[in-house]
Amino acid sequence: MPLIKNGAVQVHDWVFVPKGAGLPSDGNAVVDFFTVIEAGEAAFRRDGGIGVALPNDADLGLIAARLGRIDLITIDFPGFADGRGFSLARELRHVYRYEGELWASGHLIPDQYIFTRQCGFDAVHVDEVYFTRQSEADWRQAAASLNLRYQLSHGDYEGAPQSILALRKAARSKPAPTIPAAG
Amino acid sequence: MYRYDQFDQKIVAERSGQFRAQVARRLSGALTEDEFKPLRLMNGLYLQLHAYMLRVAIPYGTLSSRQMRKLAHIADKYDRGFGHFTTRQNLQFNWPKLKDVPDILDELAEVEMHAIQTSGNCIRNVTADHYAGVATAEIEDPRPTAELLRQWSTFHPEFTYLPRKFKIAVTGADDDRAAIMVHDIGLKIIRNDRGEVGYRVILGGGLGRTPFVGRIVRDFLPKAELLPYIEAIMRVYNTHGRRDNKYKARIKILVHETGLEDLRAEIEAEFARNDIAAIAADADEVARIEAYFAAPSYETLPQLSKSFEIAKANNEALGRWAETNLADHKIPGYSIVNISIKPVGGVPGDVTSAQMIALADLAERYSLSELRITHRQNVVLPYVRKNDLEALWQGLVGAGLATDNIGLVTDIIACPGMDYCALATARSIPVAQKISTTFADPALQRDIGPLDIKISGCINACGHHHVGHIGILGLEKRGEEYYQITLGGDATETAAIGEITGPGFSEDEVADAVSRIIDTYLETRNSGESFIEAYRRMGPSPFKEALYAPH
Ligand code: SF4
Repeated sequence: MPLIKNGAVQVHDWVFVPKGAGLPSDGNAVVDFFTVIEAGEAAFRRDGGIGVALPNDADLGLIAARLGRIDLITIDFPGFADGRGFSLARELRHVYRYEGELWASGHLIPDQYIFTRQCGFDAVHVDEVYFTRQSEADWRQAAASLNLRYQLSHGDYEGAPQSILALRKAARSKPAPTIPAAG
Repeated sequence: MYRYDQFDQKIVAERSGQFRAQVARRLSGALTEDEFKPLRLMNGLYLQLHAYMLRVAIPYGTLSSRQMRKLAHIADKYDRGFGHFTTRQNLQFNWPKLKDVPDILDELAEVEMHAIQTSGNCIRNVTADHYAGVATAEIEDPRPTAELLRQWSTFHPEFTYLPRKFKIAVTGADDDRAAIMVHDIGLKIIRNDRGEVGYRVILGGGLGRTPFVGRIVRDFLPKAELLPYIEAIMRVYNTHGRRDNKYKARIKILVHETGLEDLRAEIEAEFARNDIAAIAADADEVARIEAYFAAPSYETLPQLSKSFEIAKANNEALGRWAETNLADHKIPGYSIVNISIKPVGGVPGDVTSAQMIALADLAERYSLSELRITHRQNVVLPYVRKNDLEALWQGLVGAGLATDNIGLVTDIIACPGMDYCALATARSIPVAQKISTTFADPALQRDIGPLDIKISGCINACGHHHVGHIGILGLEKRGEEYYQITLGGDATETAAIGEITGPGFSEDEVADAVSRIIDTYLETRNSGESFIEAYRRMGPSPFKEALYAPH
């Protein structure tokens, strides 16, 4: 599965551990949510980074205490029209203050890339089948297609849509323009 | 009215560029139809029975003359010379070609318009009272709230792939003309005991397969907390709304299945754990938007216009029109003018490009270049001096727009139905035409008095049949169209879902069935009692009797 970050395909060394398989003793490993909960502290006593793959309806309260030691979280998008992952990402970032790496994983389309970034994802980890149809260039073009936004966004990143609210605020500190009367 | 600044302008222009690229990716096969579908829907583009249909947003129904002229131009250049006003204050073009749509979006962007989020499982065009700012009893103009919500919901990164569509309506008046009780969220601007202005928040109303009247989820929401509270509702809905069955995916089902108390607790908890101050709109930004809706400079005029009173007395047709189509304005000497888009025997809500131009011209001359589209598929001129009413009326007569039936039996709401819509199970337009022809006699219409007939061509209820005093739903059984009748529905502050009378009627029978209902009313009413009042007093039995007893 290709990883798209900052509008380009990137290499990474994360290994996705199949459900039921034991934790590898070292290396960067992504383990499913329930395995991590069952493994408890053991999951964190390894040599190497730990990643957790979340279903999009995960109860974050179950891993809240360990979030500070998790290096990567992936949130599953079972279908691109299922937007629960966007809310889960926001909850992770804004309520639980998770600061590690965050990927949107599964069936996403380029047109969602900007939204994933604004909700706090760092990258999109997209299924191979979708990537063969929509190449890196499509992702890059879609990422550049909107350069403004009306909402709060998670931090700023290079090429992020600019906040219209912030731009207006900046403009307000200059002398006020005259507003046309209604009608 | 609101005017785009450079940022609003740029985002709309970028959107049409984005759509152009999406169309190209669809044509190259990079996007499957499945993937393209939600993208085109979020640009208002449907694939209908015979062609694509483009739904243009008219945020909270407010439109300038310049914008109306652009719609006329688009109707002529890219369509078949007409458009259709919908029950959500939008305008639909029925025959655009896919390849032209990016150009149409560019043309719309030129006049500060778009088709963003007029369809799809996202937050839809926000609607509002069509008398906003000019109604006699209004706490505040609801349009600044609607505009704030429009901006906030536009390309919301978190709430664009919801379980299902999401509709918000706002009113600032006691008389609810925005049907807030049957929206996913209805907002009513109120003043609390301490004199502070805020919102009563209604949740989980809706029509469609499972109609519900909304319930109060928050009695008083301080104005400044609007966006954080709505975000909390949206997050709870996005997370817990059902995605396994599209007929159970609206928030009304979540309210129903979770229970209002539990859901309210969840929403309040979500609200409390967020950074309210960061999400709330900046007070300066709110003031910036409000300034665009400041009252125009009215002239000081006497309450009555002598010249208009004389004209009315000398012209029966003008008098009749004035009786039904004018509403009280908050400023002395002014009127709110309703223009009926329901000519007897015509297609409810359809306007030709020539009529659009006439409407634009008349608004320019007599209503400070501003028009409103109502959810009842009519048009309003909000700022007409009474001294100008006669001249305006003459202009309307010339354009074929002087139908004098606002609120009467022939002012029928009807969705496009089987004549256009791919989801339809039956036709609605011909039924509306037949009923309106049956009751064409102006004296008869006035004798019957206020009566809302609403017709939908399928259970999706775009024609709001559940909340019609008389509702008509077109269905299909074994290849035959038939029509189910409901009675007692109400879309206003006394909202109610109509009750089904019994077995349905064929297309040929339905106008006659409506006649029998109305005859029953005329025979049994107390003096001064409207249809809906009589129905509430007597219940359905006399009407059922008239419909189904052998005769
Ligand atoms: S009610 Fe049904 S037929 Fe009518 S417009 Fe809506 S979906 Fe189409």
